[in-house]
Amino acid sequence: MLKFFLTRLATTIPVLILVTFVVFGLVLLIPGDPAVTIAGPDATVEQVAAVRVRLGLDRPMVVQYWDWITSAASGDLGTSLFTSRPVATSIGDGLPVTIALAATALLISLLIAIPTAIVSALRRGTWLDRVSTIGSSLGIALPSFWLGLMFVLLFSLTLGWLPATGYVPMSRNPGDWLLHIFLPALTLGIAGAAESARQLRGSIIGVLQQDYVRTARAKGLRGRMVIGKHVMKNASVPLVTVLGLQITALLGGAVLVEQIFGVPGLGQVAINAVTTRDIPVIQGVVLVAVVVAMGSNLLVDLTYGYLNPKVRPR
Amino acid sequence: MTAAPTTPTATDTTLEVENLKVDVLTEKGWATVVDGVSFGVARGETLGIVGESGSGKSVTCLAIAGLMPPGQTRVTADTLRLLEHDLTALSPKEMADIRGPKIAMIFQEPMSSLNPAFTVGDQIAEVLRRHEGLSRKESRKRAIELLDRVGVPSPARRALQYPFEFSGGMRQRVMIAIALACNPDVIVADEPTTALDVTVQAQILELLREIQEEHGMSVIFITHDLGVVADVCDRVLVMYAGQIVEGADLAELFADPQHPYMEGLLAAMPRMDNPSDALVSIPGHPPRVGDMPDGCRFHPRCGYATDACRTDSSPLLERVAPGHTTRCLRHPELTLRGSP
Ligand SMILES: Nc1ncnc2c1ncn2[C@@H]1O[C@H](COP(=O)(O)OP(=O)(O)OP(=O)(O)O)[C@@H](O)[C@H]1O
Ligand SMILES: [Mg+2]
Repeated sequence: MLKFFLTRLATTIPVLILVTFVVFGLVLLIPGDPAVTIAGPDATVEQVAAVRVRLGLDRPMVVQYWDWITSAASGDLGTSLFTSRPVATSIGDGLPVTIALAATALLISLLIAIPTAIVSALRRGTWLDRVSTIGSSLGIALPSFWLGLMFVLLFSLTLGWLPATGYVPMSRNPGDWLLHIFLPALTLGIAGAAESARQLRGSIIGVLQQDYVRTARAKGLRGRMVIGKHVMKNASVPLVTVLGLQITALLGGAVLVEQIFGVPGLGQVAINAVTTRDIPVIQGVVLVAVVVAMGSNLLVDLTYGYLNPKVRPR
Repeated sequence: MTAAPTTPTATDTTLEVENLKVDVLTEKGWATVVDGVSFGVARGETLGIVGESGSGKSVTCLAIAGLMPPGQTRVTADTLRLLEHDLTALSPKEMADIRGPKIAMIFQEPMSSLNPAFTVGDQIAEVLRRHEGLSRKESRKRAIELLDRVGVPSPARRALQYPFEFSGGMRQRVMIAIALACNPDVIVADEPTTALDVTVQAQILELLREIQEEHGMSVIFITHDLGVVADVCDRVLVMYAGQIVEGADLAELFADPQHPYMEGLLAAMPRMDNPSDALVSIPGHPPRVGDMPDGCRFHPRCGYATDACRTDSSPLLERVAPGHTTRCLRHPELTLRGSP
């Protein structure tokens, strides 16, 4: 398993290098000249040139890249062009919030998907199965911002159970944290829950037909063991593949959900940076987001290797 | 193997089945696939069940073990007794308690019958944890001993491997180890060697024989290979279209078959002594489920059939000699050819 981990880790390095090129090159695609923006609308050509020199934008691209990548490697992502705060500090504030949001969303989606899929698959064709199939289709079809607004209407404004916006760090008060993160996480997780439930139901039904499930029953194992151990470990393989794709979507969806619920995560940092063309911040956020996405996909691969002994190298 | 009594008395009968009927749900509604099957198995005996594909051999045994899918199947019987247990009265939970320590199964497909996601050691050990309450450590140790017993080389290392690292024959040995784990009173072997090549087949049969001699359990051996039947069975039931059509001790059945279907099976058997003999097979096909002919179910394929066979109600299973039964109207007048 360790060998498997190291092999996978090694294959991510070239990808990571490629990503740094793309992230760095991204800036070239953003319309407008940052030096002009910073110098202000009334600046003379000389002033703009001075700003350009101050920011190092006049140096050759290769030098700029090398400079950026070596500092980034040591944790220095530069400073914001506007707030003059270190980019790493802004990201350090937002990232844990976004990770907490995405992880909670993933957890909620699995807590919904797994029992739903098991019940549907075992009670195939009954009304329970039909209800959950329709629920899944709705969950996939409905846009998450609309769902989020509906949740706020229902749980916050009508029932008054949960706060509509805002955020409390887990370290300050875990109970309050949960109250604040629940609706955003549910909103973010619901589409994934529906997709996972649908995928898992199908694979459970497939696995139930397998001879080894009959063997498990023939051994006298209890239903709990047959389903929980013999069926689920095999049925989870395609689910994990789906989860890998979902994690990237979760990070993207977090930007939107953070806006709706006023959660101060990485998405907020990103949106502010984009609207002000704050290039070092944009670069930093994208780089960190990519690293997080790659890290979680590595985790998915490891889970895959655990579930499916055949893919492990030996 | 010792010749077992053909009419086992209640005390030494491990399994007793009377009038077993199994219906399955098809697209066209309920259809009977096992119809009025009765037999007993004595302790230490190997009972063969033979018949063409689809005759209901597997369903008979799966139904006895409570392994037919609920909802899509109906199982009824006048008697289903395994040792002191009345199986018709047991809940699914109680049935599960019996599977493993009292009745165990070995299936045909060694490639797909083991779970690809767990080590073989774990798949053996979990039976011991379930039924004998062994700890993880103890069960792992016993699993290695069992692998050793069924002839898997370097068992301690092999226990940690996954099924895909085993050959077909080795996997079937693992299946036997699983079946053997709780020392059951009855083992059902459903075509355990059909998927294996001939030399491996002989080794597995030898292993089963050894184990039976060691533990004295009853074995129900399902196959459509009469050569294998001749090799391992004490007594044989012949099934056709969901019914038993003949039952007798091995030697008597081969020498003096009393049902035209059995005569046909014997004639179709490839012979070692005369390999050039063209393979004769019984013409036609068995009837489809839910579409049984009137009268004797075998009459459309039977060379001896008369009008009575076609029109009368299905013939009953009759005793022709002690321990020898047949389901043929014409058995008193026919002289059928056995196997030399
Ligand atoms: N779960 C089920 N649902 C519907 N029909 C079934 C089911 N299981 C078995 N059958 C049908 O019951 C009949 C008997 O099947 P069975 O598996 O007992 O045959 P068999 O004698 O074991 O044949 P083989 O030699 O091919 O294993 C077949 O026609 C089969 O299609
Ligand atoms: Mg069968």
